[in-house]
Parts: sequence; structure tokens; C-alpha cells
Amino acid sequence: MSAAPSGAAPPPAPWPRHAVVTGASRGLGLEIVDLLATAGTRTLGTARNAAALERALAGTGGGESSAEAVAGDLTDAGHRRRLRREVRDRFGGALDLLVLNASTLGPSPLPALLDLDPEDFTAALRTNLTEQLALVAALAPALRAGQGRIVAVSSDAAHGAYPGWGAYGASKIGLELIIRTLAAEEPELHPLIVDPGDLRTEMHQAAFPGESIDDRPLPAVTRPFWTWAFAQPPEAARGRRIRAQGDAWTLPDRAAPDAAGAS
Amino acid sequence: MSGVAARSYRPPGPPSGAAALAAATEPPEARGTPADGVRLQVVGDDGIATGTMRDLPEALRAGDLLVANRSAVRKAALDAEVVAGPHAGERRLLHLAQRYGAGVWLVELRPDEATPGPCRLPLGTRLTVHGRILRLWGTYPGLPRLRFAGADDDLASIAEREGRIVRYGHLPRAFGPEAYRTVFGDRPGSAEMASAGRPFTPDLLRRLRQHGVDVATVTLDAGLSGLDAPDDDAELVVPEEPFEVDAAAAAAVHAALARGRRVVAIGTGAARALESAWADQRLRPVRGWTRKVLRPGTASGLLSGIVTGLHGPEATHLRLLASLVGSDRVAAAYRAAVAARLRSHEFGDVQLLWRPRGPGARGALR
Repeated sequence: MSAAPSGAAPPPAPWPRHAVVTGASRGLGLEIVDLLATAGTRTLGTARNAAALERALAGTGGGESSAEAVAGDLTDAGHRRRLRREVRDRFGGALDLLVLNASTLGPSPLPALLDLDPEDFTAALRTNLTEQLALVAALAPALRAGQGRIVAVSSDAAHGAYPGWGAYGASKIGLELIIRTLAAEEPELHPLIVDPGDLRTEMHQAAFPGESIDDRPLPAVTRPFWTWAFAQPPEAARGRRIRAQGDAWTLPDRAAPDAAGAS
Repeated sequence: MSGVAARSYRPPGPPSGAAALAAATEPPEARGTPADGVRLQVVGDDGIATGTMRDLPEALRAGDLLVANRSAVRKAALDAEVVAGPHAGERRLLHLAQRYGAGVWLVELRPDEATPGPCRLPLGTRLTVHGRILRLWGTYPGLPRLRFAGADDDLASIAEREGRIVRYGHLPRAFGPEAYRTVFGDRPGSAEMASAGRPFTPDLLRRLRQHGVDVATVTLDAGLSGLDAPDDDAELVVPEEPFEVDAAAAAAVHAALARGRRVVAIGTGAARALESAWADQRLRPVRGWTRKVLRPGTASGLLSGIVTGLHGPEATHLRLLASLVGSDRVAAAYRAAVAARLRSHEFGDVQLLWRPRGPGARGALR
């Protein structure tokens, strides 16, 4: 476990003071954790592989205030309870941001639907859909006590009907509906869906084994997006689906509150 | 200039005429010329005509629609001093390129107005800015000149109180905020003036309306222009910018297009906002941040022309223009500007560039 962080103070609200990020040991999750830690946000990162997580998070935050590792499996209710405890003990029970980044791609290479082992399908739905909601439920009181913002990382596979991506895509479109429904039921949790776009990550490589994915950008290309997203008032983008690498990050009409303005 | 931040670009075609274009070094008013007295060069299929901005109504037809950028310039230049480390005590000029949120900024640090850098301050560096602490977080992907930074204060009100308007080396002295006002600018947000709107005066607007020309407004908060140059269009990186096309502007554009009228952007910022709101052959009312990069081959063709200032060799400006009116026209316009000794930059002369008529022009320009 990393030591409590030092002095780098985060910017004023709405920038989050306290965050939890899942899937934090590599790829996009690690990029988000590093951005938050560098910005002075106290961040708990979680992932299954304890050694890999510790190693990855030790390098975050520009050496000033690295993110804190809480390793475990999100499909394990005990780990979810532990995360809730850690948030209570370290953050005083107030959580400003939960990033639901962890997910499983399923078997590699990606099988066509009729070749899909039903157990693999069930596992994808469980990890990417059912257990995501369970984690939200576990941390909802802390999110209500803090500023409260949930960011669910989705995929264009949720809408694209790409051969091989059926199980993963089904879990992600399910996750998107869960998040949009949450936005209606629990508006103070400020849920947001983000499609990060294709990225050069281990997960993307697993989807294309043996093929070069060097034409995809590294996760760092999404840093301006996360910087923008976390700096927005949480209600500004509530319930929306935003493509981080799309042509525009659009917001609701001006009737909706947009604190501070851009001047 | 706006929407066109990042890179520089050798003008297409023969004229390496960039250097031959002299910059306006003061507002026209300082040399006794009214704002609409700057020169206007119209470049179209029928040739090139050079007069003054007051001739603009004659270059337009009744029913034409002008679309201006209502973003006004904000004070974005501040003095900063490094707090600790090997550069402790060093002073830098801080340019607040874009506000991502309270205390969260994209910034450029430079030695002075005339010297773009390099900044040479490691990430994690803290600077004091009028008693506030600003910390450098990270570089902008693909644009190391620009840094993300976080402050322990919003900084917006401090910038408004203590800041200056961004000025570059072509201006030997500073001018007050009144020199940077445009008749359209009523929403502060841009780090650089939407300068194509500057030569429009209330009197010119009145004459345009008498002539049957309508004016709609959109918003694009411009970041900083820059000088770094990729050789490949695909590598062009332009930071995202806040924009808005409201329902009234969308309706005005639709009405003009439906009647076969011409839509003309006043400035590259207005063009970027319009192109960012264009989807499925229609203009959607939309608000957000645009990442759309206009490079040759990407424009929709909804714009028939653009009123633009001249900005020397900065690249994304010319590439954006080429996306709207084609590289050949941009090259011809540049040669014409050099021949007519037009003055460049924010206080300089302007051109009205028409998109070539003819088959395949819409959206297919290279």
C-alpha cells in the first residue's frame, strides 16, 4: 500500500478531491489515475494483480503524490466492501468520482456468437455489467457524501455490431442503459458514459491478436478529454454519452446549469 | 486568429511570400484610419478586387448571410515566477490559452512576447501568479509547447483584473482592451481576438442590412495560435475549443441555404463553429467543445466564402482556409495580398475569399 500523498493540492471544485478508478494497473485506467494523481486528486486505484498494480501506481503523479493501490477482484463482494471501507477511512467517506474502467474482453481471439462458450458470455456480462452496478451500489453513499460523479467507460462496440465483439458489446450496451437509468433515478450521482475510442492498449491488442495496432493512438491522447470532463460541473454532462476522440464534446442546452461560464 | 491554433504551414504554391507580408503594428485608428477603413481584397472566380472594408456591401448580394463570432477576447497574459527548483526565481510570461474548468487551464509559458520558447520548465513546476500557485501537470498530446496546469484558484477573475491581452512580437507596444473589441464580441472567452470581425462597424452593419445582407452569430472561444509545423496534414493537432451554434443561428443558416443564398463566415472561428455543428446535411443547434480539425478535404461546403485576416505563414489558418475554398484559391489570394502589400495580423487588412463555383466544389476541395 502506498503512503498517504503529499502536498499537491487539486484545483478548486468541481475538480474531484477524492477518486476511485477501476482497472488501474494499465492502459486507459492507468492513464486516468496518473492524470488525477498529477492534478492532486487523492486516488484509489484497483485491479486484480496486486504486484502489477503496486508497480504501476508507484510511478503515477509525477513522483509527487502517487495513487494508492487497493488490489482485488471486483466480482468479489468482499473486495467491494473493502473499497467502501478504504473510502471511509482514507477519504472520510466522501467520494467525488468513481471511474468504472475495468472490464473483460472475453476470450481472445474474439469468437463469433455461435462459437461463444455460454460461460464466457456469462462472465463478460457479470464483470462488465452486473458487478459494475454492484460497485456503484457499494460506493453510492460515499458518492452522495462527496460531489458524486460516475464515469462509465464504454465502447463503440456497444453500438457497432462488430463480428466477434457480440458478448463484449452486449455487456457494454447493457452498462450504458444502466448508467442512463441511474442518471434518471439517482441524478445526484451524475453518471456519464464515455466512449474513449480505439486506443493502443493490451485489451485492444487481445482483440486483434497477431495484428499490428500501432495505428491506434496511445491512451495519452485522451488526456485533454479527461481534463475537460473532470473540470466540468458534474451536472453539466449528466446522463450523456461522449466520445473522447469524437469531433465534439457536446453538452445540453444552455437552460441546463453551467457554473462559472468560460470567462 | 482562431480555431487554427497549432502549427505553421508553408503556403501552397510558389509564393514563399510569407515574409513579404508586413504586419500591421498598431490598430488602424492609431494611424487615423477608422476600423472599417482597412483594405479589403475580394478573391473570387471573377478575379481580384482591392478596395476598403467599406466596399464590402458591393461584394455581396441581397440574401447573403454573414456569420460572425460573438466570442470576445479576454485578458490571458500574466506575469509568473517559478517558485522552487533549478529555475526558482525565473520569470515567465504566462498565456492562458483555454479554461477547461475552474483552476484548470491549458497554458503556454514563454520568455517574453517575442519569443515563443521553449519553456524548459519540467512538469511539476510551481509558479506564483499574483499570489496564486499554478502547477504544471502535463503536456498537450502532440503539442509540447502547451501545458496543462492547475491552480489553487479559478484564475479567471485574477486574469481579468491583473492580466493583459496576449500580444506577440509584431506589435512593438501594448494597446488597451478597446483596441481588441469587435462589434460582435459580447461573450468573453477567447485568448486571441476574433480579428476578422474587427473591421465591422455599426455603420457598416447598417449598410449591409440596407443592402439585404443578414448577419447571424455563433460562438467559438479561440485558444492561442502557434508556429510549430508538421509536414503531414494527418499530424495536424489543434486543441479543442468551446463553441456554440444556437437555434437562431441554425435557423438563419438553414433559411439561407434553402433559398440558395450564400453563407459567408466572418473569420476562421465562425467557420470552425459552423463546420462543427454540421451533420447529416443540416446544422444542429449545439453547444460544447469542438475537436474538429478543418484540413483540405474535410469541409462540408456549407460556406460559400470567408472574410479573413492575413496571418503570415501560420499553418492551420491557411489549411483551414484551403479546406473551405481550396488550396489554389488560397495560394492565389496569398500572391494577391503580397502584390497589394496588404498588412497582416489582428490589426491588418482582410480578404473575402469565395469558394470556386463549379462541379464537385462542395466538400471535395483539396
